[in-house]
Amino acid sequence: MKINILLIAVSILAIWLAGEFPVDEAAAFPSWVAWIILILSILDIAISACKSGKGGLVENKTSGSEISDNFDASSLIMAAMTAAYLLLMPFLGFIFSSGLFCAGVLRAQARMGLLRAAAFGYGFSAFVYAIFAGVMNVALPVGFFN
Amino acid sequence: MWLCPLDSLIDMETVAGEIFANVSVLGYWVSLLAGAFCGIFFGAVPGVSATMAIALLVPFTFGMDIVGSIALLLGIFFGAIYGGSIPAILFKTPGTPASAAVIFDGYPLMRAGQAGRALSLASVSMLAGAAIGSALLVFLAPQISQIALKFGPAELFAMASFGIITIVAVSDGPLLKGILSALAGLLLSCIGMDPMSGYPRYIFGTAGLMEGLPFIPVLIGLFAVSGALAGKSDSGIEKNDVKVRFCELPPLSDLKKTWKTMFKSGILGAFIGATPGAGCDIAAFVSYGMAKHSAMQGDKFGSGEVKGVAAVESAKAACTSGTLIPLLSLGIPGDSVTAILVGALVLHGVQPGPLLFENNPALAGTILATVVFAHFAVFALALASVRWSTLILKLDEKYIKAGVLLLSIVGSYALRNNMGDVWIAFVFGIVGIAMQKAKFPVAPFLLALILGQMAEVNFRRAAMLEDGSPLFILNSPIALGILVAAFVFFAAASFKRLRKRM
Repeated sequence: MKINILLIAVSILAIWLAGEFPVDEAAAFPSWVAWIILILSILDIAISACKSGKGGLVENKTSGSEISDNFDASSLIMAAMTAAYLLLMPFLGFIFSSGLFCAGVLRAQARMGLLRAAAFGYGFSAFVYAIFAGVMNVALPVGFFN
Repeated sequence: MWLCPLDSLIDMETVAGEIFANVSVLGYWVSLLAGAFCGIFFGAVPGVSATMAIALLVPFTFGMDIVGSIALLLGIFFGAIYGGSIPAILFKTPGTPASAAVIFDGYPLMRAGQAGRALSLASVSMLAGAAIGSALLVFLAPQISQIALKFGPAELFAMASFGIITIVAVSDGPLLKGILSALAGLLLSCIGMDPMSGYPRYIFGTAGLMEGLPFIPVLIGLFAVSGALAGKSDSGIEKNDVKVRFCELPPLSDLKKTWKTMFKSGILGAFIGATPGAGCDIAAFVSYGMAKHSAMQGDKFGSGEVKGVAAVESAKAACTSGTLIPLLSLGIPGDSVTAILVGALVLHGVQPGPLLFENNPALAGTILATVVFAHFAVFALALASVRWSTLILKLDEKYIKAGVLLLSIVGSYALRNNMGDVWIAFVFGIVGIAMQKAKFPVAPFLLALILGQMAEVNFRRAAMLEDGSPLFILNSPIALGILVAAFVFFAAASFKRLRKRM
């Protein structure tokens, strides 16, 4: 249901923005697609509502609990840590931030000792850096510690 | 044989002798194996596509002779296309877009403790597909090229639609959600500069989005990041479940079960590869869709079916040979990888095309022989790598999770040296979790995102050629045939779903 509402919002935004395009041809295709999404999302919501009205609530509850098992508090922590890592990487540089991130993930997920987690984190980060920067010539962020 | 416009047997013998002399040099085999190894390695790194791998290693060929260069480049190309499947099967992290399709059955096999079985079957299927593709390349290239060249905008639009419709039809979950997922992918494919008018659409002032939403970070986000972020669902494997044998070969029963699938997918993959503009990702997804559609009772597609792995790998390998059909017979590169190959060949003074076979039949024959040998080199290395790659699974899952997340992030960054791409991967990791939670299938979304621009551009071009009429389809029997086939396929799959529910 939530995804359907999001799709409806996105399709309305897409149609509105397409209406502002100065070139009609550029607006046509996304507008058609957005209109179809809008109609089908409403239809999907209606179907779900009918199903829940006919006793589909039990089924929905079961599937919901299966999913919530997969995405728990530790997943939220992981997501927050990843977001923080991405924010810090341009400032701290790749090796320092990646080592910190890996060590943090291992501490949080596996309750690993600080030294072991840091050793793995910085070792693996250095290995990845050697492959991407050394072999593939990718300019990874260096940050303040350049 | 189309490659020999020779008048006499004596000439043929001379050419055969030259080909033999070219390929019996130690340096040739070293280049071939080095190319295959580098290809598998780079293909296995998330974010590094086959195109990137070749582009990175082309400078190494500058000092080499032409035969060694061709061996190295073809080894990299075929190796990279296969290599993408290794992290896809082991960590649900596709190395290349085409490898995303092997996740659906390869990853569940790994979770069942059969990673070695999945990887060895993948390598055997790769060889089977390569054999079919190479045979078609050697014996039927002019005929296939003539058909492929009839593909104009209307046919390419029909082809893109066929790919999307097929994957929607066979995707898991409710059909309506599959259609919505594909439409969402189509809508997101409109982000970026309009390919016809040049007007920037939905970029909100972000220059990084001018080229469109980069699909490799999206792919990495949807599969790898979402898998690493989501907790318990992807942690079903125990270390002790991982069986690692010294030499892993697929069981005979698997080969018996999958040989027909390999054959059909190989033919399909080669034809899709020969069509300029279509790539190995379409071949992989369409072949998977076809195999799933013709599933028999007892087949468990989506939860570790060996036919699913065989279909994808065979189609991918056949497609790599298929892309060389228009390149070698007509001099037309079918995709970005073959475009770089043309550039590399031209650098060495070789112009691919029909004249190559007339002016330098020995070199043309050497290229064809190298296609076959390069596939064998990749197969040998792939089989040898099964043991070493499955050993990684012996590591504690927490290490793997941290490693996958880090590689996903660097892989997304490496594509364009852009932090924006990393954020795209992260956002699509969350989107992937939300989609799984709401039972929206991911595959139609991804394929529609990849094929969206191809569908739109060719639809508009075809309509323009018919004075803006969308009825252009009626004037093209091939396009009409493809679309009718797609709708028949869709109707049959929907009927199957209905019967299952009743």
